[in-house]
Amino acid sequence: MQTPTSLTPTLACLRTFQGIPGPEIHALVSAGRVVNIARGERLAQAGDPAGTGWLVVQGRMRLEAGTPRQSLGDVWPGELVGEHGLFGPAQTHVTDIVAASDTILLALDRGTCHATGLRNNGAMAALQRHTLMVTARRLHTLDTSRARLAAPTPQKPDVAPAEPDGQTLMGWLRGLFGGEE
Amino acid sequence: MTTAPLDARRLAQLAARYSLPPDSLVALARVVVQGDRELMVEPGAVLCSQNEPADALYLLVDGALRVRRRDRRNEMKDIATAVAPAVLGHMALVLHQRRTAALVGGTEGARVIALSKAQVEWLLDGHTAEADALRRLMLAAQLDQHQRSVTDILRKLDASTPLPKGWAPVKD
Repeated sequence: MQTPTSLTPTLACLRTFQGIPGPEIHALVSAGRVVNIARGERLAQAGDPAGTGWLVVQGRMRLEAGTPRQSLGDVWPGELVGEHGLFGPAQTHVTDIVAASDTILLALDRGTCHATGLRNNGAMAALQRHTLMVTARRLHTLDTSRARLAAPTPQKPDVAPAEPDGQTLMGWLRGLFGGEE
Repeated sequence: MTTAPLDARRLAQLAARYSLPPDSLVALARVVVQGDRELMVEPGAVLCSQNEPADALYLLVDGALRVRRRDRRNEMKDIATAVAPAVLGHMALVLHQRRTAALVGGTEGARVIALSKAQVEWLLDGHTAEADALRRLMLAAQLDQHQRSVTDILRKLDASTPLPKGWAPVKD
């Protein structure tokens, strides 16, 4: 059975924690708990209370939303699912979180992450920086897609911007999720 | 634009807006004091322009800013209004991109704390309580914007998707 301590060498190999000393990673994993989840199992549903983020250590998680449920993207080792509950002001999850393969996660609670002991921790800082970068890229993708739809074109200067259709909206939604494999 | 004395009390509202723990406020206040450049943005005055390089992170502590972008007719158009307290300009700064929209003072003007790009980049790499507080603030602002965007798109795809409590739809 995996313990938080046994995850340290695995996490140290991930790009997110590249260059972070082992003891710093160990302090981060010691603040969490290991979750093993089988392929197809649901970790959280849209609307569930948020307050925990899960760092993918091994395997792959999938985000789903819509009626009927559609895949929005996969999240790979070194990245977070449920990051809104961990670092954001969100009260609830906005998508379903499902295991796309047998997966090992490190569960981090919001309260634990706000604890003073992790404020000067290099692994926590690395995780925050990585999440900042990933989220900024996702938002930028959406922003540029929206801007492109409304942008001036020399060929059609007097044509009003089209409303995005369902396919466009789904594309935008998928751009807001998924990992950095 | 003119400068004004720092009003640190408004930081508490900003921290509460993004659900930061109360004890991170002191660290956040230190960040602001270190890089203090508080600006009074008059109604209609341009804080930053579309397509210019991002050189600052903006903490909107009072008033409102209009978010403007060129449309298909090449005219500047309001696409949203940001109301205090809010964090703006983080995306372009993190990605080293140009601004995708302009920020202009709202009808009552705005009070903004500008943190320079150099200060933000230095703090993002740091392992101090101040660095942690700024990263948490920026993360919370980004994730708030992300969740609002997701919810807005889901609602357009499926009108039955409920809005989280207290939220208004994002304006396109």
